[in-house]
Amino acid sequence: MGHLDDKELLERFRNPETRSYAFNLIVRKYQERLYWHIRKIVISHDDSDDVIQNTFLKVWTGLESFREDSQLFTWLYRIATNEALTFLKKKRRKFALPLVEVEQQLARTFEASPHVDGDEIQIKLQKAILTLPEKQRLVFNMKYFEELKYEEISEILGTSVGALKASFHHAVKKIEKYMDLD
Amino acid sequence: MKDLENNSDKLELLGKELPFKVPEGYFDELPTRIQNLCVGEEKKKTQVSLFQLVKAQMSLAAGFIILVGLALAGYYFIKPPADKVMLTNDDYIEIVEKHITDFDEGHLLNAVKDSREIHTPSNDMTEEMIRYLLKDNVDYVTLMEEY
Repeated sequence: MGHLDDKELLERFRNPETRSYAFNLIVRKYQERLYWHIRKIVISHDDSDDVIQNTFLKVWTGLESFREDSQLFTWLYRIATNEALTFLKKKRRKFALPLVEVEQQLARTFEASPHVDGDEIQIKLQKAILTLPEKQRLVFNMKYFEELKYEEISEILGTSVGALKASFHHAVKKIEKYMDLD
Repeated sequence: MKDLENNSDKLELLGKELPFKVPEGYFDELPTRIQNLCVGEEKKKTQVSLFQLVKAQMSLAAGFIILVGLALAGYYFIKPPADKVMLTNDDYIEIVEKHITDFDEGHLLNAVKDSREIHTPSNDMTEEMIRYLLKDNVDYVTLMEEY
């Protein structure tokens, strides 16, 4: 039962008797991918933990109505992305911070958090990514780190493939400049 | 176009490692925490559903109580207390004096007659008195003269 594909997991989820178990398997299958996706957006581990819990809570309540028009993992990514962005928006509103200040605050997390462990270049790269506009940041993370196809990113973000390619191109140029790679 | 579609070669040199870590055993205990959260939410939803179920009836009852309250309040505000509308004989006299031209003689006589009738003992009472007097051997002629 541990190696079921998404279709079989969904079938079991729709059966009230195996619903909880199937959900547990879905969480186990996707938790790491979603966690790291969220972590790259909100940076802090504690915030990522809150966001991933909210994400799976939404999945639990919404999975029954999932129509399989898209792949399960792109649907999960979409929920995780929305939850992470909503979290940042709330944070911005709560502390009445402008957008740039939030990104600077996220960058400061690299110095303060006990859950940051990497070399100087890795941290500098993350700081460079935080200077990007929100959409470019998402596209860059999904393309560069998670190696998703443009078609998949398009399904997650609801943006055309052409626009995504342009966003990624601009993001790469800005990061190269920040990292002094020109 | 190739540059747009693929990762930059220069960036590739930086690697794809993330400078993040998670507490030990985090991913082992996360599914259980999530499962508990979902179960808790399900319970909360059931409680909310129960509340939603009685909410309509409670609203209806509250609405009814408010309506009755308003009706009672309205009744007491619009209708002055009974003792305030009680008129004394002096009031009647004053009213009649003020509006004497509105009454004709016939009306006044009828009114006086009616008021006397009111004070006349009832038929039952009269019969009772006659019976009493007869019992005490009072003369019938005297009795008839009396009534």
